[in-house]
Amino acid sequence: MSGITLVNQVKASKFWNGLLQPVANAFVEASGYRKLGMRYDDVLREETDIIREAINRLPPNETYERLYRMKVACQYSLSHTIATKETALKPEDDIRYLTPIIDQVAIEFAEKEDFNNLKSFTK
Amino acid sequence: MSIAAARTKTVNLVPTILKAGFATAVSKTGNGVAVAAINEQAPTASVSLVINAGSRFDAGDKAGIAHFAKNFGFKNTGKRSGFRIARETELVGGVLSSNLGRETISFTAECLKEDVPYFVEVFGNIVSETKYAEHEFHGVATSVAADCSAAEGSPEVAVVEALHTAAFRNGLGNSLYAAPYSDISTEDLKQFAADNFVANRIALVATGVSQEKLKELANSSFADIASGSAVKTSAAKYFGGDARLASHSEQGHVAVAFEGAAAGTQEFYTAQVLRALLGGDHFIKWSTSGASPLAAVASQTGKDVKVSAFNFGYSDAGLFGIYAQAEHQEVAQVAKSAVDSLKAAAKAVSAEDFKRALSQAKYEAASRYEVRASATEALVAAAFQGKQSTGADVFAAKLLKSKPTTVVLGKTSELPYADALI
Repeated sequence: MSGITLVNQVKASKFWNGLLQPVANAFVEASGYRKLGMRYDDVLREETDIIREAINRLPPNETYERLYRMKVACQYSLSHTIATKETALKPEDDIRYLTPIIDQVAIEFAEKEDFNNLKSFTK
Repeated sequence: MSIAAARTKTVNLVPTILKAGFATAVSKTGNGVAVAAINEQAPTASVSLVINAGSRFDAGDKAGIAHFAKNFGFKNTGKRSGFRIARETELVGGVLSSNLGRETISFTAECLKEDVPYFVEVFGNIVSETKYAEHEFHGVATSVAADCSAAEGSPEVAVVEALHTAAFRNGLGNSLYAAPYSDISTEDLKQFAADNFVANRIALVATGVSQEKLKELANSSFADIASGSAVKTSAAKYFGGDARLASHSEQGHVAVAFEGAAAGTQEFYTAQVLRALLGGDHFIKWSTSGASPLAAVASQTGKDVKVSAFNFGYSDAGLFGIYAQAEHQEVAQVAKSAVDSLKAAAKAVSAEDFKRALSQAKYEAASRYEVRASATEALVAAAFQGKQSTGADVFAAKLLKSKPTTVVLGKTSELPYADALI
C-alpha cells in the first residue's frame, strides 16, 4: 500500500524467500490475531477513508463473516482465553479478502487526487 | 409539459436518422458495427452509440433491464473509471447523455470536432469493458428510482406509457421505466451486456465528422468486440384496449389511438401529414386560435385546453391518435370533438387544408434535424414528394377501422369510456 517494499524481489529469489519465509511465519504467529480467530484483513486500521470505503464495498456475506469473527475475538478477550490449536485460524484460511478492494480504492483515490491537482492535461 | 415534450422523452430520434436514410451512407466495420456520419459545416460534432436493445427487448422476468443498462452508461470500465470519463469530458468541454427508447439504448457525446476520436474510444470502452460493479449498482438503482418517480409525476408520460401497454401489450408495450418489482442484479447486467453489446447490434452515428474518419475510428476502438447476432424482433402485434388511470390530477387526460404506420414507410409520412392536418399545436405563443380542426376545438372550449394529434412510429408498427387535456367536466366533449374531426378527415380533405398540412409536416420533419443536419432538409422534402391529397383521408379511414386504444387519466369516475368517444 505504501512505503518502499522489496517483497516482490524477496519472493522472486529462492534464497531470500527460503531464509525469510519462516521468520515471517513466526512473526505472524507471534502477533496473535489468528489465536483470536481473526484474519489479517480484520485487524487493518479501519479509520482511514480508503479502508472505510473498501469495507463498504464488501459483499454482504463477507461483511457478516467479518463481524462474526470480530464478535468471537471480543468474546475471547472478555473471557481472557484464546483459541486452542484446533480452533485457531489456520494459515491457509487467512485469506486477504479485503486487500484487493483496498488496492482498487487506493488507485481510485489517487486518480481523484491527481485530477484535483491537475496542472496540464493531455488526453 | 406538452405531448410533444413527453414524446421526445419517450422516443429516441437518433435511430430514425438511420432508418429514414438521411445519413449519407451506412457502412459497416470489419466485425459489423454500423457507421453513419453527416459531415456538416459546424464547429461542433456529436457522436452517438446506438445499441439495438431498448425496452421492447426486455425479457418478461427481467423487466426494466434496459433502463438499468442505460443508467450504467459512462460508469467504471476496464480502461477508464467513471470518474475519469466525467473529468476528461469536462476538460475537453463535452456533454454526455444517455437515452432509452423503446427500440434502442443510446449514449451521446457532443463535443468539439477534434475530440471525436476520444469519445469514440470511450464508447468502445463502454461496450466492451463496463464493469457493472456491485458498489456502483446502488447509485444506479437510486438514479433509476429517481427516473421512475419523475415519470410518475408527469401525467403525459404516464398516458403515453399506458397507451403503448394497452396497444401492444408486450414488446413495444413494455415500459421504458423499470417497474417497482424489477429484480435486476449486476450479474443480470453483465449477461445483458454480453448478449446485446455486440457489433451486429451497435451503430455509431455522428455529425461533424466524415464517414471515412468515423469508420477508421470505429475500426480501432471497436476491434475487440464480438460480432454476435443481429437482434431477433418478434413482430409487433397491435391489440388495442382501454386503460383507466386513477390519479390526483388537476385536469383530465384522454388519449385515443389507432394502429398507425411504421417509421420510414410512405404511410408514416402520410400519417405525419394527417397529424399536421388535425393540428392542435400552437404556432404563436399564447394564441388560442388556429386554422386546424383541433385548434378550433380547443378555442371553442375554454382556457387551459390542450388537444393535439400524435404519430409515433417504430421499426415495424406505429400509433396514431389524439390527446386531449382539459378540466374534468369538459374533457369528454373535447375528446369527442377531436375524434369527430378525425372522422371528418377520413371522409374528405380540402385541397387547401392539405396544402397547409403538407407544409407543416415538411417543416416539422426538416426542423427536427436542422440543428445537427440542415443539409438533410432537401432529403426530407423528397420523402414528402408525390403525396396526393387523397392519401390523408384514405389513411384516416384505415385508422378508424382498427380497434381503438383509449387511455384516461385523472378522476376516473368523471372521465368517459371509449364507446362514448368513438
